[in-house]
Amino acid sequence: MNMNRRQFFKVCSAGLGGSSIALMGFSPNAALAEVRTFKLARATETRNICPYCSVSCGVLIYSTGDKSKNSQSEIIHIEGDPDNPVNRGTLCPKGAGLRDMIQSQNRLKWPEVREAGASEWKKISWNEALDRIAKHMKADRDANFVAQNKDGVTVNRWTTTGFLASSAAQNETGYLTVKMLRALGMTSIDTQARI
Amino acid sequence: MQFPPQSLPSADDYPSLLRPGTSLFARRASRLRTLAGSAPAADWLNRLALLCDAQQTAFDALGDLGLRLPAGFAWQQAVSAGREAEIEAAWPAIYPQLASAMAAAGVAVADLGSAQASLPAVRALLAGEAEAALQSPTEAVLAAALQVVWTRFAQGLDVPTGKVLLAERGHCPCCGSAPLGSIVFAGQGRGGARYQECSLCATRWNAVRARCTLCDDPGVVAYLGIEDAFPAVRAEACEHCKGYSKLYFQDKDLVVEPLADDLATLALDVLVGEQGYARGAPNPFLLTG
Amino acid sequence: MTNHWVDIKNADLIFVMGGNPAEAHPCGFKWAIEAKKNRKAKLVVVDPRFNRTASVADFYAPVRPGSDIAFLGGVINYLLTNDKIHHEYVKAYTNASFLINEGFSLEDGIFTGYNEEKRSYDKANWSYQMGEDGFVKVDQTLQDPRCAFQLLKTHYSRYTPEMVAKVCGTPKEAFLKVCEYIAETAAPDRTMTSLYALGWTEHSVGSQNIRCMAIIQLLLGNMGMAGGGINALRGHANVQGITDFALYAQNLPGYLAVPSDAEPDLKTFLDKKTPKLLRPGQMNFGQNLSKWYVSLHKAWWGDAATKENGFAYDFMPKLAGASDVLSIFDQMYQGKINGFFCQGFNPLASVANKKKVGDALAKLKYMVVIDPLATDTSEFWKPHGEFNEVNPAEIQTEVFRLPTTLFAETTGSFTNSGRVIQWRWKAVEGPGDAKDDTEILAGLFLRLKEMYAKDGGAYAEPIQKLTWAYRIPGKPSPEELMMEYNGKALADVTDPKDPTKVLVKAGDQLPSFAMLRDDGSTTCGNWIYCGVWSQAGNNSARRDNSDPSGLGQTLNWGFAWPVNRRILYNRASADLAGKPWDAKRTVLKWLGDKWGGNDIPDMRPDAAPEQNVMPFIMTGEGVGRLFSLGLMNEGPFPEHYEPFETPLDANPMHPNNPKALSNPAARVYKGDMEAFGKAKDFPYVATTYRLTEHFHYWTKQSRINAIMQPEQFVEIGEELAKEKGIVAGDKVKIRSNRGFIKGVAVVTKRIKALDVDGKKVHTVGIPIHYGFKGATKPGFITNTLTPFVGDANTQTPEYKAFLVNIEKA
Repeated sequence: MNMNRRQFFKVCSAGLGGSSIALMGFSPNAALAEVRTFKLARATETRNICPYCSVSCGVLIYSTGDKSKNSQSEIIHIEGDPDNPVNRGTLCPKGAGLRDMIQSQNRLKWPEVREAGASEWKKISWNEALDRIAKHMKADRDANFVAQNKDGVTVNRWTTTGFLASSAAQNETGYLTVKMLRALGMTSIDTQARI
Repeated sequence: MQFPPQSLPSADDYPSLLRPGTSLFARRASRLRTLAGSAPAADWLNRLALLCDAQQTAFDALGDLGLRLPAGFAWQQAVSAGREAEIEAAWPAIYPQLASAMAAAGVAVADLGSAQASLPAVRALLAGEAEAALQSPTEAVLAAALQVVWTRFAQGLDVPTGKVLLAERGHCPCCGSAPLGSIVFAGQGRGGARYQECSLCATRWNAVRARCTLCDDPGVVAYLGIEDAFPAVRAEACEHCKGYSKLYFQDKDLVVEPLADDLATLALDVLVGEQGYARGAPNPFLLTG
Repeated sequence: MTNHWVDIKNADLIFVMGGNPAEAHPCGFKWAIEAKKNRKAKLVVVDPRFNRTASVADFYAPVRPGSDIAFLGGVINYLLTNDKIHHEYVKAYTNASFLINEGFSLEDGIFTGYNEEKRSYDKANWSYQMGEDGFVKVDQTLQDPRCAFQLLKTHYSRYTPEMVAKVCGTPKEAFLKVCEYIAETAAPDRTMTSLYALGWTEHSVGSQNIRCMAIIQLLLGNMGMAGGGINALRGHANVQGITDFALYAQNLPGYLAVPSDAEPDLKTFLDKKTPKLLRPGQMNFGQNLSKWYVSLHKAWWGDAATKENGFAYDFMPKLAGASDVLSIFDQMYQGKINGFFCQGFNPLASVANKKKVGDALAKLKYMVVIDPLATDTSEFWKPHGEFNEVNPAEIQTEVFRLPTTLFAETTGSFTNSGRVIQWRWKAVEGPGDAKDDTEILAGLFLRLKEMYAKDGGAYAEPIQKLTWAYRIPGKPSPEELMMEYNGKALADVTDPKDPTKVLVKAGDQLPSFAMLRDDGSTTCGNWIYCGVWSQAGNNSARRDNSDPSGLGQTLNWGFAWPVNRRILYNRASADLAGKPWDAKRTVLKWLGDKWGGNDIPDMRPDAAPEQNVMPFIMTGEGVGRLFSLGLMNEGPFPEHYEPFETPLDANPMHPNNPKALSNPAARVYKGDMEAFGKAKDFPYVATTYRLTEHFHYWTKQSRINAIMQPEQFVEIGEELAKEKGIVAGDKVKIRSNRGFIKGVAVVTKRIKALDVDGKKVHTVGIPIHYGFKGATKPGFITNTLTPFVGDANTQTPEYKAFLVNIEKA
């Protein structure tokens, strides 16, 4: 934390009841009675970036709820970040509708599987989903891993499971993805960025 | 195909610095009277309006101080550095005028000679270096006199029209004082842009949003406001330093005036204080003790 | 982008071809408007449609889809024949004076070395003449008939205004007017910025479209200048970052070469992939490959990467040949792929030839969709009326669908197309049980690691040894990941000139890639991002938008790669003596003892002008390439070829050579050639495009976007509508040789028939964006129509020029 030399103080009811401010005409009792009729409303302002096109416009997201108290929060408004040197507070028709994307009815909420030949989805737990997928991966890798090519050169690759990566994912996701895929020996990798 | 020239909207960059206007104190007085209305603190706000009236009269009479930006000034420090005595020379002449306005309103303040002793407290308040509130009407009137002089100084400076590097944005680039809060503009050109306002000379300087101005922790801040009242005023609170300062939103009220609206919304300070946040922005008219 | 979004405001001419930023990048396009308003800049648009960008342009010229090289080749010819080039720049900063191998030539549209059977070239003769000193031979007078400049002149002399009109359908006067605008920026103090997007890339000659502009910008001296450069507008918010991190097979993070079967050990690999110095005294920055590559292996495999084992060289899989989205789907179609992951990617909608993609997916054993939304791809097996006619019982693919968080629900960084990395903060939790991608990946990886530890299996060492020192192993944090790819010193990094001087202490974050070493003492997961999280902290989170130069550089906002440089090749913005070509827009200048100005120098900071270190430091010759050697698969100079589905019977430039009809080096898979349609059955040119209200196949899931643009439409010109008896609002059916879609007819004046080689050619515009899943009206997927063929270099599919027929539905 980079504290500057500013000092803090608290404005409390006791302070406002002091004699000096009263000398200036402040009537503490009435003022404090008013305070008790008020309720505090809390919103959070968070800086983020529009995920659509590569202008990567800065946005400010307003949400309800108290993050420090871990209460459930909901986005109430998104606007352009006036400080971002590129978009300077503006948003296009897509960016202006970001809240509807985040709150889309088609958001996935839990893992599902569609079994071979089945005609519907089935809700499953994360553990079951990840266990089953990892088993598939290992079985395919063990069966098809190529340690050496036909000329005897060590190649250590696994071509029979492919991975298409998002270009809406953040850099950190991209980095972890490529690190893990290469360690597994995967070479059938491509990204949305190509098209 | 060729087309006639078109008139297109522009998004010209907003400047880093804004000078105070020449009718600052009159606007404050007017805003204080509006806010006074039927508020429980009406008497107080109306008295402060009288003080602002007197500030405006003194400001108008003062004229240009003739102090200019040094050539090639790069805003690495406050403009006033090393020139305080020169700039402040006029305050003793102004103090009695403000004092008599207050006396007429029934507020007793000390004479000029005794008021001198209050200077260190006022300086400390403005620098944000000490328990940041003044304690007596004399100190408030002295601060008001200094405001007149410094606002005149800031008003006469040629501030750059573009974006300049401001080495220390936590304090006023003109006089080095602490800001009393920030205004967020509405409308074309600089809509949404936040400017901190100096508690002494009313210079405004751009500071990016969604960042605590007290500790510079980036990214996320909380806005605390009062439900169904004072929609233009929010306390920007930070979970890192547990401090807050107030933001004044023009898009909710076009005539919002940071110093005046601050005083009219002390209820917000009380409630925010009860949540465990401490205020990090001085207002010379907010007396404690 | 070589430059960045705000820099567009510094241009004198904004040339938009192959993009429609007013529609697709509105907030970035603002800077074109600023240039017009404040600098009286001109905006010129060349496009098949009179699009939204054209509507605010100073001049618009139509062009037939897929004929861009003919147009741009014509511009090159105009500049050369009218002597509208920046002579000093061309002579010093490009390879104009370099002598080219005698064996190189073009004959009737085909370059030397063509193998028709393999559809590829032997590029041995596409090379420089080397002198006895080991450096390229040059002729500073540019008169030698074998110098690149003369060859360029000869090559493009065929691209006359008449030929341009014939091939492109652009009226000759309109073409010449565009040339005049462009030619004005040959003056040293005038700049043109080139803005392009998928309109250039999505062709079987996509890369060469851009090469044309590279040649033009070098001839005009616009590279490295404020308000100049070649600026790919690009797609997603982090398409740049994901490309930089190499989420594709042919590169490793930071565009590092990936080992192939021909490089059995680290030494061979580095010897082959490290560029050679081609002219004396040049930086040849690529010579540092060993430092970048070894540091990557150290970041991934830590202590297991030792000098003795070639820094775990064998842990990295060797490239298995082509591996791009088209080849992956072709392999899958042939049953050679069993498992498949779609992470935030909807290939059923976004890859060419939906039928082939769907059939390919049906051959998988398992598929995993990792996405915030219910995508079309995730339900490729599910019947959705005529939009997706399938029988689930026949499809044995096991499909998993895993919910992830969206941008507002995660913390991390995006890199915009101006290469600026910006940090984002999480605002809310994701819905339901949604998890971050990183947590899902870690969950899979840790399970595999455990299974291999317990049960053994194929070559588990790279898995077991992969560095994974995250505080919570199942949830690597974005901060930890950024610090990791930035890199740190494992031992004290010392000054090579003075080993007693410690530049970076052991354990510290590295400040720049200049600190990387190839002895295993540094780690770095992506060398071009080095410096983003230095010892000073997270520089991508910096938010000081000050702009003292007024050029919009904002050097303290976020962090641009490389080393916070905002304009690439900026040394070229000054003359040989280091004086800016345009002092009013100074990017860089020589200060007498070092380079300074308003950017991070793209040059060794102390390289005095008289040392003649040239600006294009990533090349072995130090200069920009008019002649691109063997780097492009279809030739060192762009040549016009017809799209694979062309309305013409022959390439008008080579009417008698059927081999030169379409890109001779483009890869075409078995069955796909047969699936190309012919003009007699499909007489109209189709081009797909995007709408401002939608983003790819994503916003169709969002209610407000669905309200704004609710359903598929098809745009046709008034003349064609009249011919076909179609009126606005009619439901029409569009067919290609691969399938059909239906949409509402929009009849406009924006698309006009063009006269091409004596033939009237109509164009049909088809927005993408729709599908059977979403808040929009359920519909067909546009890519049902598109051909399964890509650019010969990038394999980006040819979505922008193919053939269709149209009828009332």
